[in-house]
Amino acid sequence: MGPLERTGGRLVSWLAYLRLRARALLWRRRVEWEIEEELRLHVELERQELLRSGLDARTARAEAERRFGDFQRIREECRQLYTLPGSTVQTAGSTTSKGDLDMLLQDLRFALRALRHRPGITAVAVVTLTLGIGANVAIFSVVHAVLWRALPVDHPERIVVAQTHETDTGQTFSSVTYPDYLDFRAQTDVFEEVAILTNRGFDLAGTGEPERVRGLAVSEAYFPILRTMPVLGRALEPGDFAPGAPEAAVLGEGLWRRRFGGDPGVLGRPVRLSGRAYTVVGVVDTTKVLPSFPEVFVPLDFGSSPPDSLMRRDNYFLQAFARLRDGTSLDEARARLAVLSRRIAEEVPEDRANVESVLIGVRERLVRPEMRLALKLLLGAVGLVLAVACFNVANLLLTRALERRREMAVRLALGAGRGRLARQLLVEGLVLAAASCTLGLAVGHLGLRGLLAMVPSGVPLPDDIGLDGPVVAFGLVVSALTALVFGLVPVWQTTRRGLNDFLRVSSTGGGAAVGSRARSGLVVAEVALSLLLLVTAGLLMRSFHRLSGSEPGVELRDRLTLTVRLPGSRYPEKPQVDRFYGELLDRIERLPRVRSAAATSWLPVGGGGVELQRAHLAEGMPEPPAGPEVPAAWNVVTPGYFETSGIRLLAGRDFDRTDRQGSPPVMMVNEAFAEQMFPSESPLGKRVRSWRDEDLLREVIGVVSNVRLDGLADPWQPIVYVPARQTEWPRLQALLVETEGDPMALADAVRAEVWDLDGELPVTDMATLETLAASSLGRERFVAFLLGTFALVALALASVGLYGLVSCSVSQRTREIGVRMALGALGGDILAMVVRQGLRLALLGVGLGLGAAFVAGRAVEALLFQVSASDPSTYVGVALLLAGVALVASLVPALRATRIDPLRVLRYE
Amino acid sequence: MASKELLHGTLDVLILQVLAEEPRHGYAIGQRILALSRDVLGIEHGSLYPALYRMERRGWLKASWGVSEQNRRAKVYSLTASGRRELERGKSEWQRFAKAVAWVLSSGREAAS
Repeated sequence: MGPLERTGGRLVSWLAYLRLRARALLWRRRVEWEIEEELRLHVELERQELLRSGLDARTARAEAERRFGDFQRIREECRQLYTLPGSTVQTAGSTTSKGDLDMLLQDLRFALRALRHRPGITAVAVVTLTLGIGANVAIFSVVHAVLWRALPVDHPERIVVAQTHETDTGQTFSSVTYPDYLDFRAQTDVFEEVAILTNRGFDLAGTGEPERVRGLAVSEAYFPILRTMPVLGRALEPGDFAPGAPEAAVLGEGLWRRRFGGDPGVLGRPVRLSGRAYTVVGVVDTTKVLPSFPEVFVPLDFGSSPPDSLMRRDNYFLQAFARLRDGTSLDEARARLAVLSRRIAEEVPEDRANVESVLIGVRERLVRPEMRLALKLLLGAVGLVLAVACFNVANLLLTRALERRREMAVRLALGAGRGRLARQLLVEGLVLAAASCTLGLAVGHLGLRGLLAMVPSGVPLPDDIGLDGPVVAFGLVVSALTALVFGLVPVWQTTRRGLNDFLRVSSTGGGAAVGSRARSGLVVAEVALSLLLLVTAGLLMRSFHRLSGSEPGVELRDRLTLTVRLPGSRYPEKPQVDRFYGELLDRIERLPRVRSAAATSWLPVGGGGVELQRAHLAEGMPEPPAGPEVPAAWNVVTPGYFETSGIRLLAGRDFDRTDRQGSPPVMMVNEAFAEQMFPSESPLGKRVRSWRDEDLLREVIGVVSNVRLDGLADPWQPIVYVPARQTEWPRLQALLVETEGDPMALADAVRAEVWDLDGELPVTDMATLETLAASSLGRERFVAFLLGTFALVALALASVGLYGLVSCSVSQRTREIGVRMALGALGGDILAMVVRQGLRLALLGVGLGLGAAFVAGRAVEALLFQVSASDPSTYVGVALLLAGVALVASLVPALRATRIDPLRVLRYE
Repeated sequence: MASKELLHGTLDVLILQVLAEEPRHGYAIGQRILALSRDVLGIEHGSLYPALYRMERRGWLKASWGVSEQNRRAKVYSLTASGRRELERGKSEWQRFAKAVAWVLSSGREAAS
C-alpha cells in the first residue's frame, strides 16, 4: 500500500471522525438515544439466549442485566468517546463528561466567576476599554461620513470637477469661464455631460423668520449627471430652463425637514428667495456632493450679465461639473484638457498664457487636503490611545493571571489540559471584550453627539453622521483586535511555563517575576505611544499658539459686526442703497456707547462678504502679457472705515464726503499692494485701473496697513479699497461698529435701528471681531484640543501602567529588599533602586517614542504653521514631561519599598 | 472463561477479523468471537462497546442502522478500507508477537528445582 493511499485513507478517516463529532454535537439527544437503543438490544438478545438455555423469564432478565454490568457507566463511556477530544477516557470516575458546547458554557461560567472575584480589576478593564472603543467609534463615524462613505449619487467615481490652475503662481481655484464650459461640453467623447453652477446665498422668506440659506444655481445637466432619485417630486427639468418658464426650485432634504417639517404638501408651494418667487417642484438628498452643502437648487440664469462679459476668457465665476463617458479614464480626460488648455493659451495669451484646466474627482473636491489630513490624524491618534488602553488592560489581566498561577499549577497537576486553561483565559478576555464592545458602542454614540456639538461652525459637516452599518462593524473589529491582544498576552505568558516553574516560584517567592518581560514590554510600548501622541499634540498646539498670536491688522476688541444686505428687488437703484447706508450709519453713531460705524463689502479676519479679486494695472502700463498686473482683493467701504476698524493710515488721506459720484474716482491701497505695484516710490497720486473689470483710472489717495482678510492664518494679501458712493458693484454687505465696552450689549439696539429703517431686512451673523478671529481658527483649535486630550489620556494610562508595574515589582521583591536592608542598604539606596527600574523603562519608551515621532512628524507638517515638524523645544519638553511623570509614578512604590521592615519579611522564611 | 486483561489492540483485531467476514451488530460480534475461539474468549460488554465506538471514531468501522433478526432496530458495524488495512497490520503484528513469546518460552532453560 503506497503512501498516497495511506494519506488518502487518513483523510477519509479524519472526515468520518469530523462527521461523527459534528453529529454528536448537533444531535446530541438523538445520539444518546441511539447508544441506549444499541445497548438495550444487546441486553435483550442476552436475555433471550438465557431463556433458550433454560432459565425462567425473570431470572433470565436479571442475569442478563447483571452480565451487562454497569449499564449507565458503559453508556457514559460510549458517549464520551464521541464527544471528548482526542484524549483517552479515564473511567475512574472524575472526568466530567461534557460535550463541546457544555464545556464552552462551563468556561463562560468560570470566566464570569473569575471576573466577579476581582471586581476592581474587571471594572477598571471594562471602563478603560469602553472609553477607548467609544472614542474610536465616535471619531470613525465622522471620518467615515466625510471621507469614505458612499456619496448618494450613481457611480461617484465617474464624476469630476474642473479647476483652473495658474502655472506661474502655482495656485488652483475651482472656477472656470463660460467659454471654458462650452469647450468642455464639446469634448463629447470624453464627457457624457457637463454642467455649470454657481453658489448663491438666498434670503428665504415666506414661512417663518427670514433665514439665510446656501443655494446653488445649476445648469440643465446637473441633475442628469448625478442621476439620483428625488426624495419627493422631481428634480429640475429642461422645461424649467426655457426662457419665460415659471421659476422652479428644488429643496435639499435637510432644509425640507427642518423648515417645512417634512411635509409632502410643500410641492407646488411658492417660496421667496431673496425677493423672487419660486415654486417648489421637488426635494433631493444630493446636498452632500459639494463642499458648500447647498440647501436649495435653482436654474442658472445669465439674464443680467451682458453677453460679451459672459464670453470673456478671464471671467472665472462658474464651477464646472462633469460625468466621464463610460470607457474614458480620468487620466485620458486630463490629457484632453491639457491639450485644450495649450490651444487656448496660444489663442489668447494675454488672458491664458499660464493657465491650464485640470480635473479632480468629486470626492477630492469635497474635502480640502488639510481637513483630510486632520481627520486621518485624529483617527490615528485615537487608535493609539486605544492601543495604550489595551496594553494597560493586558497588563492588568496578566498580573491577575499570574496571581492565580498557584491555582493554575494545582489544576495542571490534577490533569486539566494546558489547552483547557488557555481556553478559559481566552474566554475571560472575550467576555471582557464583548462587554466593552457593547458599552463602547453606546458610549461612542453619546460621545459623537457631544463631539458634533463642539465642532466649530467654520467646518462644514454632513448632517447625518451617526452609527451606521460600517461604523458598527468597525466597532466590532476593533473590539475583536483588542480582545486578541489582552486575551492572548496572559494566555501566552501563563501557559508556556512548565508546571515546575509555577510551583517553584510560588514557594520560594524570589527570583525573576514570571512574565515580567512581557509586562515591561507593554509598559515601554505604552510610554512610547504616549510620547508620540504628546509630541504631535505639542506641535499642533504650538502651531495654534503661533496662529492665534498672528497680527490681525485690525483692532479686535470692542468691535461689533453684522451682515445687512439690501435685496436688489427692493433696492434696485444705487442712490437708494447709498441713502440707506448713510442714514443707518448716522443713526448707529448716535447710539450711546457707539464710537463710530462704517460699512464694507468684505469683513476682515474671516467675516466674509463679497470675496472679489481683481487684476490691476498702473497708468501707462501695457496690458499682460506685456505688462505686469497685480491681483488684489477688491473691497468697497464707506468713509471712516479704517478708523472704525483700527487699520492704520500710513500715508495720504481717508475717503470723505467729497468722494462721491461725479467727483474724480479714487482708491486706497494697502502696504502689500503698494510694495508690489510701486516698490520704489510712493503710490500717492498715481492712477491705477482694474483693467479687466471696471477699467476706470482711479487715483491712489492713501495707503493703509495690511489686514488679514480671510482669517488669522491668512497671509498679507494686496487689497484695494474703493468708496461705496463711487461703485455700482459689489454692494456694501456688512457693518462694523466700534463700541465702548461689550459690543454684544449693543446688538439689540443696532438691530432695532436697522428694522426701524426697513422691517423686512434679515440681520444676520452678528458677532464681535474677536469671535470672528477666533473662529477663523476654529478648525486648528479643535484639532489641537482633541489631540491634546487624547495625548493626556494616553499619558495618564501610561503612567498608571508604569506605576502598576513598579508597584507589583516591589511586592514581588519584598523579600529581596528585606534582605538588602538587613545587609545594610539604606532607605535611599532602595529608593534609588526602585526608581531606577521605573525610569529605565520609561526612558526606553521615551527613546522609542522620540524616534517614532521624528518619522511621524513629517506626516503632519502640512498642518503646522510656522513650526517645524522636528521642533526641538517640543520634543525636549515632552520628553522631560514624560520623564517627570515616570519619576513620580516610580516614586510612590519606591517610598513604600523603603518602609519595608526587614525583620518582618525575613521572619516568614 | 472471560479474560479481563485483553489489551485494547488485541480486542480491536479480533473485532476487525470478525467484521471482515460480514457486517454484524455488537451482540453478534461478541457471540462470533466466542464461537471462533471455541468458547475461550468471552468479551466483557464493558469492553466491547467502548472498543466499537473507539474504532468507529478512528474510522476503521462504519455503522448503519438496520433491522435485527428479532425485528428490532440494530446498529450494524462494517469494516472500512482503513479498517481492513488495520486488520492486516494488527494480524501481522500479533503473529510477530506470538512468535516472539513462543521463542522465549521454548528456550528450554529452566531453573533446577
